[in-house]
Amino acid sequence: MRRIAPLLAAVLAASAGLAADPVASPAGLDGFVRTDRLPMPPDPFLAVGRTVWGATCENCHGGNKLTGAPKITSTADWAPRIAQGMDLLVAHATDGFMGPRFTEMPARGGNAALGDAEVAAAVAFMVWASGGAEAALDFARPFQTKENEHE
Amino acid sequence: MKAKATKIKAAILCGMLGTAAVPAVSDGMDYSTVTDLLHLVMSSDRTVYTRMIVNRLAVEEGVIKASEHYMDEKALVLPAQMFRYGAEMVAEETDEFSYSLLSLWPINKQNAPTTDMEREGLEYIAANPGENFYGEEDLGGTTYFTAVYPDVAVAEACWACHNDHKDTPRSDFKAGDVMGGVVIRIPMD
Repeated sequence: MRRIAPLLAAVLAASAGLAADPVASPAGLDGFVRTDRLPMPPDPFLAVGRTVWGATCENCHGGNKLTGAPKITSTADWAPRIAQGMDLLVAHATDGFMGPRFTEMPARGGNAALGDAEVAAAVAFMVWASGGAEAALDFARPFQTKENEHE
Repeated sequence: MKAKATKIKAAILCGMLGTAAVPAVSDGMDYSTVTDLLHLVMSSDRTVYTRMIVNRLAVEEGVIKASEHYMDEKALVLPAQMFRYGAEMVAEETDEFSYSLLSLWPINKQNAPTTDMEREGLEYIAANPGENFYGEEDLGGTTYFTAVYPDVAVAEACWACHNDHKDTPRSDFKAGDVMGGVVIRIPMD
């Protein structure tokens, strides 16, 4: 078991990274990106985020240049944001944020019905699909633990 | 939906774009290239106004508001109003091209589509995010190249105002939705 555990961890880590790698690139996927062009993440919390993203975030973050929203799958757009940390990204998405060039991120993506965990999951999914798999999976882990505690 | 590669000897338009001295342009451009460039200028100017004027002063700083009734309320004109005033000024200066901001869900009924192609274009861009629509139509004996570009909800003020307006035919707009379209028309004859 001692030998298997590191191997299992390595396989899981590799599969988690590979799942997002085919879509993440400096410019991101060509054209407008809908949910069906994005892979299913290996984590249930991120999978919830994928659904939330498709319903609320896709309109702007799918590649809608006029909104000024960073495009999902674009590492050029997302790397400097991911470097600021997941907590700040989630806070901006939850509370709303005005960018340095006065681009507007509405609170909860303009969908007031979204709960805090749903917003966090959507952000984590977007990070995961945009070159930040490690940061997203680290962020998702406590949520996964909480779910297991309830089982 | 790309129209056939018809060419325009676009000397007048190129002069307007300030690119008359560029040799490649003097050989002619596709109509769609001309409308794409016109739209790029229009949308960039309007987006800058929305961000750097309205978002900065009305949303971030809170020193003035933007209002449909800007005269009575001593407010900033809405980005859509600024855009329309630009279209009116262009119409006074030239008939080489025209543009307008239309919607399938207009607050002002005058901004509803009036031709079959306008309606087809608006329906196409609403159903296909990120795509434009191009076609040709005959109006009053003249053939026009008509392009329709998505007009997107880029600020909360856009969709909040439309959703809450007493005359709105639709009240479920959200961020990034296609709320209407910019129609650019060039006579081909």
